[in-house]
Amino acid sequence: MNAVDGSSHVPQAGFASELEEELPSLLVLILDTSPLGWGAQSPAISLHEAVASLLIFINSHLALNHSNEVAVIASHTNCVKYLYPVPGEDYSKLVPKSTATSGTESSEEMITNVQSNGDNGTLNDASMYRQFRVVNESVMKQLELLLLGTSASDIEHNGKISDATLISGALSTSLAYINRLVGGVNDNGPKVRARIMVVSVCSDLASQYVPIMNCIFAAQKMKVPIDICKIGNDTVFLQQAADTTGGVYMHLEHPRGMIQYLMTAFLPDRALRKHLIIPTQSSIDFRAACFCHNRIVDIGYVCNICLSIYCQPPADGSCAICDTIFDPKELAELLKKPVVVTTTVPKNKTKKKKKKDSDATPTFAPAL
Amino acid sequence: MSIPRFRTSINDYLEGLPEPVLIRLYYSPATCLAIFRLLPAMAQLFIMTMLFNDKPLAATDLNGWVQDGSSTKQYEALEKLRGMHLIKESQGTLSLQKTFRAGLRNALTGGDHNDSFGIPCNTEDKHRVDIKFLDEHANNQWELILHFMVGTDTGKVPNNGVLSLLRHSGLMEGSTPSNMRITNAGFQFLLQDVNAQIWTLLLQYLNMSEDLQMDAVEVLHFLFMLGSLELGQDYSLVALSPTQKIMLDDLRDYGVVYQRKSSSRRFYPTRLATTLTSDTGALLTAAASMDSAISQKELETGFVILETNFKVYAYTDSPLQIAVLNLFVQLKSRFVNMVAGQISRESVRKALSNGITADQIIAYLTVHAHPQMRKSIPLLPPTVVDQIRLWQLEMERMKIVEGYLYSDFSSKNEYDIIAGYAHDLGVMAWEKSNKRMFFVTKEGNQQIVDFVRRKVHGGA
Repeated sequence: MNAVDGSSHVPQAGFASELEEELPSLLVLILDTSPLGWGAQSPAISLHEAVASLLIFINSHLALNHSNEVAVIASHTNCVKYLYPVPGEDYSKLVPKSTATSGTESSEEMITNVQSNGDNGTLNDASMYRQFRVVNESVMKQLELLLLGTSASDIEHNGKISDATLISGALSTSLAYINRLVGGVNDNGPKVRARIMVVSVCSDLASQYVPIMNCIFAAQKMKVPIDICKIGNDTVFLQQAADTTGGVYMHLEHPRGMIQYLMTAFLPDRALRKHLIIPTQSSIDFRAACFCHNRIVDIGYVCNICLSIYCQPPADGSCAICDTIFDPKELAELLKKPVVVTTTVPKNKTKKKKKKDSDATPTFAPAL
Repeated sequence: MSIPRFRTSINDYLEGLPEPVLIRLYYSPATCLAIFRLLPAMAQLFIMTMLFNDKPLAATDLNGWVQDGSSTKQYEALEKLRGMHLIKESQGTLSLQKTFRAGLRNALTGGDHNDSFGIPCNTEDKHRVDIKFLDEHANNQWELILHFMVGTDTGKVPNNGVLSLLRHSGLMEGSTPSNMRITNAGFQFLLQDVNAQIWTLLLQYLNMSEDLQMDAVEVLHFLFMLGSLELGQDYSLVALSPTQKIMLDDLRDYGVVYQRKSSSRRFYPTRLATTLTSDTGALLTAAASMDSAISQKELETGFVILETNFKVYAYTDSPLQIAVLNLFVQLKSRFVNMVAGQISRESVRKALSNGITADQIIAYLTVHAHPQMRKSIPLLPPTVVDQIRLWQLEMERMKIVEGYLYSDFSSKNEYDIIAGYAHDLGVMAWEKSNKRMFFVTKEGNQQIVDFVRRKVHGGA
């Protein structure tokens, strides 16, 4: 009779996590398409090869579960573009076409094929699972259009050529997309588990500190982990993004082996990660950027009302974000520098009593 | 949940196949993909790491990768992989089966031109059908079979092929369509969810086809190819082998594919086909939120509310679902869009005596639970779940064993010898040594009798 007792055979937490494991997952891939950034990586890996690895990664994500979904967003120097799904295009309509021309193809050859075939190139080919083919071709086509449409002026920021990309725009776009698709957590529990993955080659994001941090906190609220795959130099804020949201941050030592990194560290989704020890960066660079000049600072000044960070006290005596007027005396205290006092020892030792008035204890103001 | 169940049955079948047959299966990328999807998540991950890595993976690396608390999952995953001959182990390293690796790589990269994913038709179909039609068609065909099993009088009878399949699989018995009765196995079948039901039938079909000299590998290839086809797209018969063309006729009867007539050169997979290799959960949750083209059918959504006072409310008007509920629920009232009833001892006992187990009733209620029920953890009220199990236990109060009782032994010595012999043979069902009597099963009785005769004749 004991075996029938309700408490033991009714799964409590186990049931919820089992349900979670059966949930399909949505992967939003943010690809950094800054031409300069990829150009700088060129002996190690080219954009061509990286995209090939990423397409295989996307296919394997779709292969894990019938109802897994994917979205690809390109973060360009001055805009953000959906590579898949392209708004306005109907993927359920198939254009009947003459039988496919492909012989043996790998996804790299597919890249050249799309360029020569044009629209809906080989959508009806029988050798590839249609779901894979739709995504792959859309990504390739849109990426090509994007890169061909970039002019020299787009790459410049403030008059000089830089490799900055709109990561903040891409993050906000993807969070909005996830919100639309998941529809918020309703009574029946979340229906889909979403996560974001960023492939980044750029080096400096200091100008986008505030928007990126806001996106990170929004992702934390939505329980969406942000994984970062970094090629090239480490970037300050992306480490914080992965750490805060519970994602994986990997800096690729050998970019040539990208596919293996992707398969091992980035493929398992949230439910599976609970059972695995995922390689991720443990030492995190927690520096911030100041709000006034976008310089990266280790130690700075913080407004005590809105907690915004400055590298030096604001010149006009008020906080730029919340318009609090600071007490000028306090500001003056902060700005005080230590006074260097020169003491002259009297030559005549008998005239001891003569002491200079300025031989006062130097005032120390707390420096920085 | 039903998902492990349907997986286990197709998995069991696959694991039962000998290795050369499995390797032949892995030549087709579509099959590799379908089999990959059937594996548990951790096994999928292991395969993915080894897929593009040419060097074999050391087993210790795997151990270091999985967290300590989840080593059972790792063990299960490895067992599954070994059972399907997907990995080869040598000297502590693991490597993927070559054909499978090539097949899965081709599936992912689209290389190696082959027709395993189905050749879409190039020419326009004069009688083109849309998804709604396909859904209705599938629904009608499938419900026809189920209605026939339950015995609702719809006036239509499925084809002979279907009938012979039902007979062969033990779901129904009887020789002519008019006197076929549903069996216990059939009742259990009714309570499974759609995916499990289809796979049960298809596995029976597989077994039957081996008798009919059809190549099991080709049958499986076709089935897995069906799982990867796109709904609403017509496919040509060009690449199908003769075996697969025969299968097409049979599958038409089940509502898995649609063909306008048997001479037609194209066929359309229905939703039953495209969801062959996916989970039912997909139909209930993500698909509903992401793909607005799916219409809400009773096949696919939960509609049963179960309360702690044993009352059941089912928001359905499908005669089939109501008939299935009638098997174990005492239905009390019926409305336009709902039936209401109560689970009582009589109703459950009726179901139990028909061969349905308590677990099946509980699984049915879990799978078809209304989305509102999912708010509570656990899903079904434990009082009701326990009570159903208790009612099942009630049926098992007595166990009857036929046999012979030995008593009135003249001396303790004699008793000890014979009882000891019976015990060693393992035929003793019950004994009471202080009263010197014991009970032997019917089958073992003859041996005891022979033994005693030998002893008596042999002296002492």
